[in-house]
Amino acid sequence: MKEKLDILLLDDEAIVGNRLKPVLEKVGCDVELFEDPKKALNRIREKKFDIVITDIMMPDVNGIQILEEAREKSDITKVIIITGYATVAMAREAMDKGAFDMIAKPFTPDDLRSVIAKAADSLGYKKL
Amino acid sequence: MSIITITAGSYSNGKQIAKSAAKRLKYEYADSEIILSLVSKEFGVSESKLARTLKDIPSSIGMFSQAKQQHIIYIDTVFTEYMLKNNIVYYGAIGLPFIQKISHVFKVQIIAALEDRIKNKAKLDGESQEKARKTVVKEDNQQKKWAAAVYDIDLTDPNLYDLIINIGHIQDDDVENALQTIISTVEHKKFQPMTYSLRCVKNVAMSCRVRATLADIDPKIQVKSDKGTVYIYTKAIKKKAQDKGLEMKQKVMRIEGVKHVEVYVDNDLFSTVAHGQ
Repeated sequence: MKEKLDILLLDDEAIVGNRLKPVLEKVGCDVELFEDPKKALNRIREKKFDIVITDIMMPDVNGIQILEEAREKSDITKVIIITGYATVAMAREAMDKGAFDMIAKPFTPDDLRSVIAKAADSLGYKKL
Repeated sequence: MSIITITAGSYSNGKQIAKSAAKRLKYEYADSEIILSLVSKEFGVSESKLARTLKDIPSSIGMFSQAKQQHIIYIDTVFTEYMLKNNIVYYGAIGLPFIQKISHVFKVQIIAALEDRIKNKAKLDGESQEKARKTVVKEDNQQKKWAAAVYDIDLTDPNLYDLIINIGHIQDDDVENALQTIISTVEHKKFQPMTYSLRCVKNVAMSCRVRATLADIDPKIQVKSDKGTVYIYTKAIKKKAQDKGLEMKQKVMRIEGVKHVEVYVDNDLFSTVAHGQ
C-alpha cells in the first residue's frame, strides 16, 4: 500500500481549494487542486484517485458528473461532496450515485479531516 | 444505519408493521408513548397531561394555553433528540415537520381503506361496525386537525413521505408485503446517514432544546441553529427588548454545545398598544 493518499480537490472558488489543500497535505495526503471542473474531469479519466473532493454547483460540469466519472474510473475511489446548497434531494442523489459522504459549507478543517480519516480508514489506511 | 418513521391511521396495523420492521432490522422501536414517558421524566409533566395535549385540538398552536404550548415544545425536543440516534423505527406523527429536511430519515405512510379499518376495529374490540366507524372517523379527524393546528401540516399530503403503502384489506399477506417493501427500501444508500444529514438533525435538535430552555419566557420564539450558533427571533415591547434578549442569551449559553447566540427582538406592536407604550 502507498504511504500517501492521492486526493483530487475540486472547487471553482479558489479560496476554498487554497484553504483546504494545506489542511490535507498536513495530514499526509498528496493533493491535486483544480478550479476548472473540465480539467478535473480530464485528470480523473487519466488517474485513479483514492479520494475525490468536489463541489456540486459549478459551471459546465457539476459535482454529480464528477462523482459519476470518478466512480466509473474506479469504484474504490471515495467521493466526498462539499456544497453550500445542500438539500435532501441532492444528498440522496449523491449517496445513491455512490458518494462516500457529503459536507455542507461552511465547514471547519476539522470537519474535513474527520471525513478524510473515515474515508482513509475504509480504504485501509489506518494512521491518518 | 437509518431511521424509519411510520405514520398510519388507526386500525391500519401501522404499529404492528413498525414493531415488526424494528425486530427484523434489529432496530430500536419507539412511539409517542415512549416519547411522552421521556418528556415526563425530564420536564416533570405528567404523562396524562401530555397525552391530553396530543388529543386537544386548538384552532392554531397560538390558541393553546401557555402550558400546552410548552408541552408541545418539550415533546418536540425529546423527539428530535431521540432522532440523534440511528437504527430506529418510530411509529407516530409527532415531530413529522422536523424530520423533513433529514435525508437519512425514511418516511413511510401506511394507508388502508376506511371500511377495512372499521372491520378491523370491530373484530379486534368485539363491537358493532357502527360503533367502530364512529371511533375510527373521529380519530382520523382528530389526528388530522391536531397536525394542522400544531404543525401546520396536512397528514394526507404525499410530499411529507418517501413511500406511501396502501395495505389493501389489512390481511396478513398485505402486512407482510408492506414490511418487505419498507425493509428493502430503507437499505438504499440514499437513506444512509452522512455528515450533512447528521449535522441537520443535530441543528434541529439544538433548536428545539433552545425553545424548551426558553419556553417559560416565550413559547412563541423561533429558533435556528447551525453547529452551535443559535439565532433566536422573538418579540417584546420596545422598553423590555434589551432585557429580554439578554436574559435569553444568558440562559441559552448554558446549554451544552452552544457556542454563540444571536437574539433578534422585534417590536411587539400588539403588546405595545395594549400597554399604551
